[in-house]
Amino acid sequence: MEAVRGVSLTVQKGEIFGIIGHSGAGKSTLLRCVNLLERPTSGTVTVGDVELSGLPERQLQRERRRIGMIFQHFNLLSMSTVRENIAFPLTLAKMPKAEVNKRVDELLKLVSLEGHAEKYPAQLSGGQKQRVGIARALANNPDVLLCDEATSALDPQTTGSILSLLLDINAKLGITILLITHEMNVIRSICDRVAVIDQGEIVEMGDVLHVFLKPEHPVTRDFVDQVADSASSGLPLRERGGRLLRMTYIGDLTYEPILYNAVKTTSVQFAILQGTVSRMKKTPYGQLIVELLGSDAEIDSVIALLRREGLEVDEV
Amino acid sequence: MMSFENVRWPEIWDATKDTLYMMAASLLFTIILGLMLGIILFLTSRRQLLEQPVVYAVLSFIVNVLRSVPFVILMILIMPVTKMLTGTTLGVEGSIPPLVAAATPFFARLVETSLREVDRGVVEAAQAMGASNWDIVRRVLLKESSPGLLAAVTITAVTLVSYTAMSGVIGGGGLGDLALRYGYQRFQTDVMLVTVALLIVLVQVLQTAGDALVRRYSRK
Repeated sequence: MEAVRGVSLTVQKGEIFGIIGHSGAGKSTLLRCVNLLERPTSGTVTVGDVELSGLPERQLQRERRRIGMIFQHFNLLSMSTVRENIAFPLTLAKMPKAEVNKRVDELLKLVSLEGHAEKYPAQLSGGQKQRVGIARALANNPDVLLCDEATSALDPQTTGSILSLLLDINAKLGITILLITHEMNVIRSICDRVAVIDQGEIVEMGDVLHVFLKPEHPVTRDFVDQVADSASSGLPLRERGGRLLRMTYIGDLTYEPILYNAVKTTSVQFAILQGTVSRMKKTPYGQLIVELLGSDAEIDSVIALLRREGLEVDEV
Repeated sequence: MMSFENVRWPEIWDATKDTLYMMAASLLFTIILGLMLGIILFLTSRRQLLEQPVVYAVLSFIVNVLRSVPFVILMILIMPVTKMLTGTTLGVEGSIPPLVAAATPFFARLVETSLREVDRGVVEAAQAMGASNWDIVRRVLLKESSPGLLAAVTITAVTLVSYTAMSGVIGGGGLGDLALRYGYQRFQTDVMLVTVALLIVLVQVLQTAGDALVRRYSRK
């Protein structure tokens, strides 16, 4: 059975790249192909400038140390303490003991788990376990961090704190993050680019903002609708027979009174019927469905004015 | 009222020491050999690190054969091997090879089962961190399954106690031998009762100690 086929994907250095798909879509297999936990039957995998798929086992093991990985169910050693868990990849790399201890202390601080070093995983909360997982994954200063549904087993609040930790690590250490998820919220909060995978194939890929605001494939639209306030879900009823516009704006425009400025010298009236004003990673954006009432000529000039200001306006 | 007139305590004490010695020595060999065999069984089984269906099938068959032969028969069957290894088929030394031969496949299966309990995700995480198969066996599989392995050692030790008693049939020495020679063949019920009581105490002590260790080392 083929889980993934014909996928060609390039992740840029330092970016946070998200792969989203329903369960069984092949995203987990795709992620495991990156460090060859799963061997593709054809094709190549290159991380940095090393083609992993061509390496013999022993060299592959060494290269894997440059690729950290965290998991949905944390996968910590239950019989080892937090310290021993984080030290595990370091001892595999044969780091001297004194250095290991120093490095573990640094990592504990990075993930805010000072004081938990001697506890066992069973004594930690889910969020704390994932922090141990992150510390362990970062121990060998990897270039890439793979996240396999890293927040799917966590409650929304803990998810938020883990996501901001990942964002922080990406900014501070410049580490490339490749994550898979089935939650659009995760993509929206931290990813720069996204690929949507369905039945083993990538059906849509691009900047998160673009994909989010203009989803094309039905599966992508499903995911965008997950984030309930999205303006792309079902159109509202036309109340007074005016003209319906979808206005999309990104960045600082979000804070400007553009709509008011556009209509104030005319007799056009507007009603906001549906919409969202939010933030994607660090970029504010808005998408509104607005009904304009007035003469066609005046409405046309309002639309032209809005477009001149940099808004994207479609009549729907 | 029982009088215990036939019981000669120095002899009982010697037999107890023999039983403990037989058990300890055969347990030691069983753990070494059984651990190796159990690990190989586990690693070569389906969907594991060194999947080798033919190797697994052959080993599994041998284990099953050894386990299906009753211990009394096994003792007699492997007498030539015993003689080759220890120079005798009698006494304490002569009973160690059959004890190991009987307990090793049993322990190996328990090891295999314990290793199967280890979360696959943890093994996968170790692989992702660049661990070799040997690293995984040593630092992940054995460590993660250590409570299960301790429990397996306990069960095996208790089984060995009952096997040592049976080895009395072929002149194996120890408490079982005493119970058989005096209690059964000379109708000295008191000797038999004392040896049985001692065996019960031994089993209780082993099981209790084993359980305490398992509890001490469990982290879940």
